[in-house]
Amino acid sequence: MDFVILTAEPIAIEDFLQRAVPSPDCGARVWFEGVVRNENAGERVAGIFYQAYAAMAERELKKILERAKAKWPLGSLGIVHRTGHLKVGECSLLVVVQAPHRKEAFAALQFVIDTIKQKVPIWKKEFYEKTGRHTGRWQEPSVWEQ
Amino acid sequence: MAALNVRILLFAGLRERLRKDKISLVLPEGTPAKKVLRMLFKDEGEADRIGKCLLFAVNETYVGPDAVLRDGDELALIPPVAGG
Repeated sequence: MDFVILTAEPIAIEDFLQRAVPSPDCGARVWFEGVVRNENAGERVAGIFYQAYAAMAERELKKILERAKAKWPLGSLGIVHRTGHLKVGECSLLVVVQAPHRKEAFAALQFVIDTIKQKVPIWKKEFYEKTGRHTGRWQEPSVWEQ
Repeated sequence: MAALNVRILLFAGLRERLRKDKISLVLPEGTPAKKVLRMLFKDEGEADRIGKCLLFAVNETYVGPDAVLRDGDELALIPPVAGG
Protein backbone atom coordinates (compact mmCIF):
# COMPACT_ATOMS: atom_id res chain seq x y z
CA MET A 1 0.00 0.00 0.00
CA ASP A 2 1.21 3.53 -0.80
CA PHE A 3 1.30 6.20 1.88
CA VAL A 4 2.58 9.71 2.59
CA ILE A 5 2.56 10.86 6.20
CA LEU A 6 3.86 13.90 8.02
CA THR A 7 3.79 13.32 11.75
CA ALA A 8 4.81 14.96 15.02
CA GLU A 9 4.81 11.51 16.70
CA PRO A 10 7.84 9.18 16.84
CA ILE A 11 7.94 7.03 13.68
CA ALA A 12 6.98 3.45 14.57
CA ILE A 13 9.09 1.77 11.91
CA GLU A 14 7.71 -1.75 12.31
CA ASP A 15 4.13 -0.48 12.01
CA PHE A 16 4.90 1.26 8.73
CA LEU A 17 6.76 -1.74 7.34
CA GLN A 18 3.61 -3.76 8.04
CA ARG A 19 1.49 -1.07 6.44
CA ALA A 20 3.44 -1.47 3.18
CA VAL A 21 1.82 -4.97 2.96
CA PRO A 22 4.11 -7.49 1.25
CA SER A 23 3.15 -8.03 -2.37
CA PRO A 24 3.57 -11.53 -3.90
CA ASP A 25 4.92 -10.13 -7.18
CA CYS A 26 7.64 -8.10 -5.43
CA GLY A 27 10.99 -9.76 -4.81
CA ALA A 28 12.58 -6.66 -3.29
CA ARG A 29 11.60 -4.70 -0.26
CA VAL A 30 14.02 -1.95 0.81
CA TRP A 31 13.74 0.90 3.25
CA PHE A 32 15.69 3.88 4.45
CA GLU A 33 15.71 5.42 7.91
CA GLY A 34 17.07 8.93 8.28
CA VAL A 35 18.35 9.29 11.84
CA VAL A 36 19.47 12.33 13.85
CA ARG A 37 23.26 12.19 14.08
CA ASN A 38 25.29 13.45 17.06
CA GLU A 39 27.71 15.55 15.00
CA ASN A 40 27.62 18.07 12.17
CA ALA A 41 30.52 20.13 10.79
CA GLY A 42 32.60 19.43 13.87
CA GLU A 43 29.92 20.35 16.44
CA ARG A 44 28.25 17.97 18.88
CA VAL A 45 24.55 17.93 18.02
CA ALA A 46 22.04 17.43 20.85
CA GLY A 47 18.90 17.36 18.68
CA ILE A 48 17.06 18.78 15.70
CA PHE A 49 13.81 20.70 15.40
CA TYR A 50 11.99 20.02 12.12
CA GLN A 51 9.48 22.60 10.91
CA ALA A 52 7.22 21.98 7.90
CA TYR A 53 4.83 23.91 5.71
CA ALA A 54 2.60 20.92 6.34
CA ALA A 55 -0.04 21.24 3.61
CA MET A 56 2.48 21.89 0.87
CA ALA A 57 4.98 19.35 2.21
CA GLU A 58 2.32 16.63 1.94
CA ARG A 59 1.48 17.72 -1.59
CA GLU A 60 5.14 17.69 -2.62
CA LEU A 61 5.67 14.27 -1.04
CA LYS A 62 2.68 12.92 -2.98
CA LYS A 63 4.11 14.36 -6.21
CA ILE A 64 7.43 12.62 -5.52
CA LEU A 65 5.55 9.37 -4.86
CA GLU A 66 3.67 9.70 -8.17
CA ARG A 67 6.86 10.51 -10.09
CA ALA A 68 8.67 7.50 -8.65
CA LYS A 69 5.74 5.21 -9.48
CA ALA A 70 5.65 6.55 -13.05
CA LYS A 71 9.40 5.97 -13.43
CA TRP A 72 9.69 2.44 -11.99
CA PRO A 73 7.25 -0.50 -11.75
CA LEU A 74 6.87 -0.36 -7.99
CA GLY A 75 4.63 -2.60 -5.93
CA SER A 76 4.29 0.09 -3.27
CA LEU A 77 5.95 3.19 -1.90
CA GLY A 78 5.58 4.72 1.55
CA ILE A 79 7.08 7.95 2.89
CA VAL A 80 6.91 9.16 6.52
CA HIS A 81 8.55 12.41 7.65
CA ARG A 82 8.75 13.57 11.23
CA THR A 83 8.29 17.13 12.53
CA GLY A 84 9.01 18.77 15.89
CA HIS A 85 11.89 18.19 18.32
CA LEU A 86 13.95 15.03 17.76
CA LYS A 87 16.77 13.70 19.90
CA VAL A 88 19.93 12.06 18.61
CA GLY A 89 19.09 8.58 17.34
CA GLU A 90 15.44 9.32 16.54
CA CYS A 91 14.12 8.60 13.04
CA SER A 92 13.33 11.71 10.96
CA LEU A 93 12.47 10.01 7.67
CA LEU A 94 11.30 6.57 6.62
CA VAL A 95 10.95 5.50 2.97
CA VAL A 96 9.72 1.98 2.17
CA VAL A 97 9.86 0.64 -1.39
CA GLN A 98 8.63 -2.66 -2.85
CA ALA A 99 9.45 -3.66 -6.40
CA PRO A 100 9.74 -6.85 -8.47
CA HIS A 101 13.56 -6.57 -8.47
CA ARG A 102 16.22 -4.93 -6.30
CA LYS A 103 17.59 -2.69 -9.05
CA GLU A 104 14.46 -0.57 -9.40
CA ALA A 105 13.78 -0.74 -5.65
CA PHE A 106 17.17 0.81 -4.81
CA ALA A 107 16.94 3.33 -7.68
CA ALA A 108 13.49 4.50 -6.58
CA LEU A 109 14.61 4.75 -2.96
CA GLN A 110 17.58 6.94 -3.91
CA PHE A 111 15.39 9.12 -6.14
CA VAL A 112 12.80 9.67 -3.42
CA ILE A 113 15.35 10.67 -0.77
CA ASP A 114 17.28 12.99 -3.11
CA THR A 115 14.10 14.70 -4.31
CA ILE A 116 12.76 15.17 -0.77
CA LYS A 117 15.96 17.04 0.07
CA GLN A 118 15.51 19.34 -2.94
CA LYS A 119 11.78 20.01 -3.06
CA VAL A 120 9.83 19.43 0.13
CA PRO A 121 9.26 22.52 2.34
CA ILE A 122 10.69 21.16 5.58
CA TRP A 123 13.43 22.91 7.54
CA LYS A 124 15.68 21.85 10.37
CA LYS A 125 17.23 23.73 13.23
CA GLU A 126 20.14 22.06 14.96
CA PHE A 127 20.75 22.35 18.68
CA TYR A 128 24.19 21.75 20.10
CA GLU A 129 25.44 20.24 23.32
CA LYS A 130 27.48 23.32 24.22
CA THR A 131 24.70 25.89 23.72
CA GLY A 132 21.67 23.89 24.89
CA ARG A 133 18.08 23.70 23.80
CA HIS A 134 17.42 27.42 23.47
CA THR A 135 20.10 28.36 20.97
CA GLY A 136 20.03 26.56 17.66
CA ARG A 137 20.92 27.17 14.05
CA TRP A 138 18.73 26.78 10.97
CA GLN A 139 20.40 24.80 8.22
CA GLU A 140 20.18 27.56 5.63
CA PRO A 141 22.16 30.66 4.57
CA SER A 142 22.61 33.14 7.40
CA VAL A 143 21.68 36.11 5.21
CA TRP A 144 18.55 36.99 7.19
CA GLU A 145 20.13 36.50 10.58
CA GLN A 146 22.30 39.61 10.29
CA MET B 1 -7.11 49.96 -9.45
CA ALA B 2 -8.39 46.98 -7.45
CA ALA B 3 -6.54 45.95 -4.30
CA LEU B 4 -5.44 42.40 -3.49
CA ASN B 5 -5.57 40.81 -0.08
CA VAL B 6 -2.66 38.40 0.19
CA ARG B 7 -1.48 36.30 3.11
CA ILE B 8 2.28 35.83 3.41
CA LEU B 9 3.59 32.69 5.18
CA LEU B 10 7.03 32.71 6.77
CA PHE B 11 9.20 29.79 7.85
CA ALA B 12 12.46 28.86 9.56
CA GLY B 13 15.04 31.64 9.90
CA LEU B 14 12.86 34.14 8.07
CA ARG B 15 10.04 33.55 10.55
CA GLU B 16 12.40 34.24 13.44
CA ARG B 17 13.93 37.23 11.69
CA LEU B 18 10.52 38.92 11.25
CA ARG B 19 9.07 37.46 14.50
CA LYS B 20 5.86 36.43 12.72
CA ASP B 21 4.59 33.30 11.03
CA LYS B 22 2.15 35.11 8.76
CA ILE B 23 1.48 38.62 7.56
CA SER B 24 -1.56 39.98 5.72
CA LEU B 25 -0.83 42.59 3.04
CA VAL B 26 -3.03 44.70 0.78
CA LEU B 27 -1.24 45.00 -2.55
CA PRO B 28 -1.93 46.78 -5.82
CA GLU B 29 -3.19 44.71 -8.73
CA GLY B 30 -0.40 43.17 -10.82
CA THR B 31 2.06 42.76 -7.92
CA PRO B 32 4.60 39.97 -8.62
CA ALA B 33 5.67 37.60 -5.82
CA LYS B 34 9.22 39.01 -5.62
CA LYS B 35 7.92 42.53 -4.93
CA VAL B 36 6.66 41.41 -1.52
CA LEU B 37 10.25 41.20 -0.23
CA ARG B 38 10.68 44.93 -0.86
CA MET B 39 7.66 45.51 1.37
CA LEU B 40 8.87 43.27 4.18
CA PHE B 41 12.45 44.56 4.14
CA LYS B 42 12.82 48.30 3.87
CA ASP B 43 16.45 47.99 2.78
CA GLU B 44 16.35 47.12 -0.94
CA GLY B 45 19.79 45.54 -0.87
CA GLU B 46 18.71 43.27 1.95
CA ALA B 47 15.46 42.37 0.15
CA ASP B 48 17.39 41.47 -3.01
CA ARG B 49 19.98 39.46 -1.10
CA ILE B 50 17.28 37.46 0.67
CA GLY B 51 15.37 37.05 -2.60
CA LYS B 52 18.32 35.22 -4.12
CA CYS B 53 18.07 32.51 -1.46
CA LEU B 54 14.29 32.03 -1.54
CA LEU B 55 11.72 30.19 -3.59
CA PHE B 56 8.09 31.26 -3.78
CA ALA B 57 4.93 29.17 -3.54
CA VAL B 58 1.40 30.37 -4.19
CA ASN B 59 -1.43 28.30 -2.73
CA GLU B 60 0.98 25.43 -1.99
CA THR B 61 2.57 25.28 -5.46
CA TYR B 62 6.03 26.56 -6.44
CA VAL B 63 5.95 29.59 -8.75
CA GLY B 64 8.61 31.82 -10.27
CA PRO B 65 9.50 35.20 -8.71
CA ASP B 66 7.57 37.07 -11.42
CA ALA B 67 4.28 35.22 -10.81
CA VAL B 68 1.51 37.80 -10.47
CA LEU B 69 -0.47 37.58 -7.24
CA ARG B 70 -4.26 37.40 -7.14
CA ASP B 71 -6.78 38.38 -4.52
CA GLY B 72 -6.95 35.77 -1.74
CA ASP B 73 -3.62 34.16 -2.59
CA GLU B 74 -1.45 32.61 0.08
CA LEU B 75 2.19 33.34 -0.74
CA ALA B 76 4.80 31.26 1.07
CA LEU B 77 8.42 32.43 1.18
CA ILE B 78 10.42 29.20 1.06
CA PRO B 79 13.97 29.31 2.46
CA PRO B 80 16.34 26.56 1.24
CA VAL B 81 14.73 23.31 2.35
CA ALA B 82 16.47 20.80 4.61
CA GLY B 83 14.19 17.80 5.04
CA GLY B 84 15.33 14.21 5.29
